Amino acid sequence: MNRYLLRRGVLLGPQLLILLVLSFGLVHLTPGATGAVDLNAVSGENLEQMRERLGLDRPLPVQFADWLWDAARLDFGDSFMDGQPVREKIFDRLPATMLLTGTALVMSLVLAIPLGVVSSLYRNSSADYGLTVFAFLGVSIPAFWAAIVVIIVFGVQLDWFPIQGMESVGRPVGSQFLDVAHHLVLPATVLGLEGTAALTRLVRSSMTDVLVEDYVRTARSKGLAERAVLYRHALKNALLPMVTLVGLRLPTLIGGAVIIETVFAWPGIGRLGWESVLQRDYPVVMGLVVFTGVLTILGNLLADITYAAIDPRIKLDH
Amino acid sequence: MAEAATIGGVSRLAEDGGRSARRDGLRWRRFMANRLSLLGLVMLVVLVVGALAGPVIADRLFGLQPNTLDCVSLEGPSAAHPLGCDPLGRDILARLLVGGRVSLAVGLLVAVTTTVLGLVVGLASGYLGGLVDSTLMRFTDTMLAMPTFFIVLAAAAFLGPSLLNTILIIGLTQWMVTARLIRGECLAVREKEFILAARVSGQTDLGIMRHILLNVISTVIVVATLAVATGILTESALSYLGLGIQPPQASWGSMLSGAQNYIFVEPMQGVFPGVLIVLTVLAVNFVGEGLREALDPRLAGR
Amino acid sequence: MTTTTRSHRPSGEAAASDHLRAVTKSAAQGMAATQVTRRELLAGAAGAAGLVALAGPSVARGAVRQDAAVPSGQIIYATRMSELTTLHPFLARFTSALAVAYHINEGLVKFAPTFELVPGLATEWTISEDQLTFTFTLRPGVTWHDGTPFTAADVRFTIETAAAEDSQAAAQNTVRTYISAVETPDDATVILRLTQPYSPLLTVLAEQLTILPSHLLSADPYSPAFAERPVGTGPYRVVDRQASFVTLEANPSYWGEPARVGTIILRDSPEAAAQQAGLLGGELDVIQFNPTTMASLEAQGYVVARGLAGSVHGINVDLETPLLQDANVRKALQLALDRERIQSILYANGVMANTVVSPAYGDYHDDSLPAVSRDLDGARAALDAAGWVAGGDDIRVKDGQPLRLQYQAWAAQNWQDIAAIAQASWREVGIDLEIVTVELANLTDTMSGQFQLATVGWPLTSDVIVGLTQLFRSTELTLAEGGTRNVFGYKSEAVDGLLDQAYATTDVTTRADLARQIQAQVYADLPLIPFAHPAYQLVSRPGITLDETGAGALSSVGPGFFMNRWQVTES
Repeated sequence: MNRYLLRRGVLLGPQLLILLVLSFGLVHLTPGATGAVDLNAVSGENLEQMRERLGLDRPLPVQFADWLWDAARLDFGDSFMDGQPVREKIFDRLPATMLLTGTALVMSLVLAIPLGVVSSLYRNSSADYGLTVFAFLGVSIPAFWAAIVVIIVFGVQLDWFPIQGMESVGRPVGSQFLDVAHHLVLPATVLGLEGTAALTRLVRSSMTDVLVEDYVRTARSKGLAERAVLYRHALKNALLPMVTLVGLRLPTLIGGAVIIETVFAWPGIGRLGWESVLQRDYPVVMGLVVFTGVLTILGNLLADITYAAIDPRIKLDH
Repeated sequence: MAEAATIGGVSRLAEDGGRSARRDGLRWRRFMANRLSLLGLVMLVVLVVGALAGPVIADRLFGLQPNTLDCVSLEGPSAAHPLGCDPLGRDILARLLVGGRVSLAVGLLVAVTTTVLGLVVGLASGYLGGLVDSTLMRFTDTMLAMPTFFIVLAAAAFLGPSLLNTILIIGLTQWMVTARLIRGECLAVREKEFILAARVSGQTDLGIMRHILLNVISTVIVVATLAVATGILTESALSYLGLGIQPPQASWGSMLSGAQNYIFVEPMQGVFPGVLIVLTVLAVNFVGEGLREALDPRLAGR
Repeated sequence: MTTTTRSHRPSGEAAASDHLRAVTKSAAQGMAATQVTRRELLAGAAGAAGLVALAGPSVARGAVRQDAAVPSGQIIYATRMSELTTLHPFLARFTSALAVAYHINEGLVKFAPTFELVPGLATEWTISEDQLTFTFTLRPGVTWHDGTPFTAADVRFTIETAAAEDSQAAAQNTVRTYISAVETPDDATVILRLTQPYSPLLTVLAEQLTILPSHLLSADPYSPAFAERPVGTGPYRVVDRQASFVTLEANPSYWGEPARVGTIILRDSPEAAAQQAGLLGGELDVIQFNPTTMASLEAQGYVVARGLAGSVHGINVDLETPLLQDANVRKALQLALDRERIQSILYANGVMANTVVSPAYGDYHDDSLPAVSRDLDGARAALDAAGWVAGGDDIRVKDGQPLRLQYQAWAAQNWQDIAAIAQASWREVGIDLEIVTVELANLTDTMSGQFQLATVGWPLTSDVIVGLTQLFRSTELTLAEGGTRNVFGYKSEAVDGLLDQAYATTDVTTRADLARQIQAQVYADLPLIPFAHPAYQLVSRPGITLDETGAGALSSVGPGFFMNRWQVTES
C-alpha cells in the first residue's frame, strides 16, 4: 500500500511538468495567439511597445522559465483585462464551480446507482429498456439545448425554480442556504444529466458482471437471502470500479461547467475561462488550464488512493 | 459531453476487448439480437445516406440551395420551403440536408483522428516499452486528467474557426482512451505464444505489429464509434460558443445554436437540427453498445 | 449591447486609440446596438406569472443605508459582470462599464440626453478669442460620495494623471498634444491653456476626462480598490459588489436633479435566451435584447426603449487593392448588396445608412444625399463598364482572372450573418466572395487595413469631426503604424482641407456644414459602403420607464447611459 502510494505520488512530478508545458504551449505556440494581444490594451501605445511591456518580445525559453518559476509559486500574473491577480480571480470563482460540479456529481451517483442496479437486476425487461434509452438520451443531448429547454419549462412556464445566478438578488430571502440550494437545482441537474446517464450504464454492466461471479453464486447457494446477497456482496463489489471513474469524470464536469455556467449565469471558473479565451486574457487562460489540471490530477490521485485503500488486490503489484 | 459516452464501455474493453480471434458469426448474431443496436444501425444508415445524398436531394428534388437568400426571415413552412426559413431567409430543409454532411463528417473524421493518434501512441508505447512507454503514458495520463474542453476552447479561439481546425482540435484532445487501450492490448499480446513464435521464426517487427493490430481491431472499432458521438456533440458545443465551423457553411450544431436566440419567437427553428443531433448521437451510441456486447466474450449467452 | 452574437466578446466596433478609449477599449461597442452577442445578453424573459413575484419589499441584500433623501424603488438590470470588473473611468473598456461609470464620476461638462453639452462640475466656462484659453468656474458645494469637498485640485490631478507617462486614459494623447498648462488660481477656478486651437476639447472633457478624487488616488491613480468601488460626485454611488451583482444607490446629496429610482442592481446575466427567460420569469426588470424578438415582448406588455446610435456599420473597402480601386467595382458592390435584408434582420430598430454620419447627430447628418437602393441591373452594368464580363460558373472574369474578393468577418454571429448575406447577394451579379473569419479579439489585420473587404462598425465618437478625422483623414495612421484608423487607405485633399477648417472653429453651424460636405465627398468616393446606423434597445417589464431616447449619439453611449432617468412607476 505505502509503496503503491509512493509510486503514485512520484508520478505527480512529471504530470505537473507536462501540464505546465501544455498550458504555456497552448498560448505561445498556437499560431495567431500572441500576435493578438492588441486591442485588448490599446490606449495610445502601439503593438511593439505593448509586446515589450508584456515581455512578449523575449525569447520563448526565457518567457517559459520565468512563467514556470512564477507558476511554481501559484503566481500566474495579472489579468490583462482588469489587472487583478489571476490567482485571486480564480480563487474568487472556484467555490461556485466546486459547489456546482460537486452537487452534479453527487446527484449523478445518487440517481445512477439505484437506476443501474434496477436495470441490471431486471435485464431486458421494459424497465431496463426504458432506463437504457434514458441513459443514451442523456449522453446524446447537447447541453446548451437541454439547459435552455429546462429553463423555459421549469423556470418560466412552471416557475418552480430560479433561472440564473447562485442566489436571489434584490429581494428578501428567508435562508441563504435554501436560496442557494434552490438556485442549484436546475444547473446541477443539467450538468449532472450526462454523468447520471453514463454512470447508470456503468453500474448496470458492473453489477451484471458481479452477479455471475463465483462468490455471489456461493453466497446464493449457501441460502443467503437475496437482499443480503445483493447488498452485502454484489453491490459492494460492483461499485468498486466507480471510485476510479468518479475521478475520471472530473475533467468532463469542469468542461461541461463552461456551458452550464454561461447559460445559468453561474459565477464560476467555467465562465471565467470562456470569457478569458474570448478576451484573449492569456494569463487567466494559462492559470486556469494549470489550476483545473492540478485539481483533476489531485482528484484522480485521491480516487486511486481510495481505490487502493478499499481494494485488497491492489497492494504491492500494479 | 461524449467523453462520458465512452465511459460505460471503455473500462471493460480495456480488460477484455479483442481477446480472441475468429468468432465473427457469433458476434454478428449477438449484435443483431440487441434490438436497440439494430435500431441504431438502421437509423445511422438512413442518416448517412441522407447526408451523402443531402445536397443532391436538396438541389434536384426540391430545387433548394442552402446559402441563397430566397425567402423572408423566419418564413413559415410552405410548398416551396417545406420546413420554412432561418433568420436570414435561407431554406431550413436545404441547410439540414447539407449540414448533416458537415456534422457527420466532423464525427467521422474526429473518430479517424483519435484512432490514428491513439494507435500510434499506443503501439509505440506498448511495443517499444521502456522510456518511450513511460514518457508517453505520463503524457497520456495527464491529458486524460485535464479538462480538455478548456484547451479545445482556447485552441479553437486562437486558431480561428474552420472545419479542419474543429476536427483537429477535438481529435487532438480525445485520443487518450484509444492509446491506453491499444497499449494494454500490446502488453498482453506481446507475451502471447504466437508472437513468441513469430519472433522465433524471424518475423520482422512490422509483421508482429500486424499481429497486434489484428488482435486489437475490435476494441478500436468500439472506441472509434464512441468518438463519433463525442465529435458531433463537441462541434455543437463549439458552435454554441461561436467557435465552430465557419459560416455560412451549415452544420446541425451551428443551426441549433443559431436558433437559440429565437427560441421564444420560433422554437421550431431549433427543433429540427436538435432532434437530428440527438438521433445521430443516439444511433452511434446504440451501435457502439451493440458492438461492445457483441465483442465481449464474457457477455456471451446472457 | 444586444443581440445576436454568439460569442460574448465585445462585439464589434473598431477602436480608436486616443480619442476615445471608451470606444477603443471595447473595441466593440459599435455593434453594440445591434449586435450584441448572445453571450452579452443572455438573459431574459417572463411569463406574466413571474411578475407577481416582484411584489413585496425589496432591498438588495447586504446593501443599503436608509436615507430619507434616497428615492424609493428598485430596478434589476441585466449586465455581464465580466465587463464590470473595473469601473474606473480611465480603465473601463466596455460600453456597459462606461455607462455605469458615467453615473458615478462626472466631468466638468456633461451630456444632456439630447446630446448637448451642459454644465457638469463646472457651472460655466469662457473661451478666449484665440481659442487657446479655457476658464472654468467650478460648482460650489459639491462633495465626493465620502463627504470630502470637490475642488480645483481634483481637476488638476485628473488632467495630470491623464497626461502622465504611465497614463491609462483614453485621452492621453489629446491631453499631451493640446493642453500645455493647467492653472488653479483658487479652489473654484481652473484654467486650461492650449498649444493650438482644438474645437473638440469640451467633448473630450465631457466624455473622457471624468474627474477623479485626488484625496483617494494621489498615491495610486489606478488603485484596484477604487476600480472596484469608485467614489465620485455623480447621481449614483456603489454600495455593494458581489460576484454576481453590483448595487448602485441614489446619491442623497447629489448637486443636480436626483436620480429617480433608489436602487439599481446590475445583475450578471450573460446568455441572451436566458436573459429573456429572466425577464419573463420576473428575475430581471430590464434587459438589452435582440430586435427580432422584441415584437413578441411588446405584444405581452413589455416596454421597449430605443435609441439611435452614433455609429455607422458598413462594408469597408481597401483602396490599396488594385481591383477595388476601380470606382465601378465599388459601385457594383454597393448596388448589389442586399442592404434592406441586412437592416431589417440585424438592425431592425436602427435605420438604413445612406451616409456615414448617423441621423442621431442632428445637423451634422446629411439627409440630402440621394438614397441608394438595391439595383442588380445597375450593378451588372457597372461591372460590364469595368470590363468584368460573364464567365464560366457565373463568375465574372477579366483578363482571364475571376472576380474573386476576400472578405474579413469577425467571429460573432451578427458579423457572420452579414457576411453570409453579402456573399449571397454579390453572387447574384457574378462576384465570388471568400469569407475569412477573424477572431474578434484579433483585430490587428482589420485595424491595420490588411483586408480587401471587411465589415466594421465605426463609432463616430461624440464629436463628429473627430470621428470623421479618424476615419478619413489621409494622414491618419492605421493600427500597425501606431495610429488608429483610416483603414481604407483613403486619401482626399478635399476632405483633409474641410477637416482642417473644422478644427479651427467652435461654431456649431459651421462645423455641421463642413461635416455635411465631407459626407458628400465620401458618399461619392465609396471607401465605405454604409448599410446601417444601429440602435440601442432595452426592454423592461411593465411599470418601468426608461427615458433614454435621444441618447444615441454619444460615441461611448450604449444602453444605460441615462440610468438616472429610469423610473419605477408601478411595482
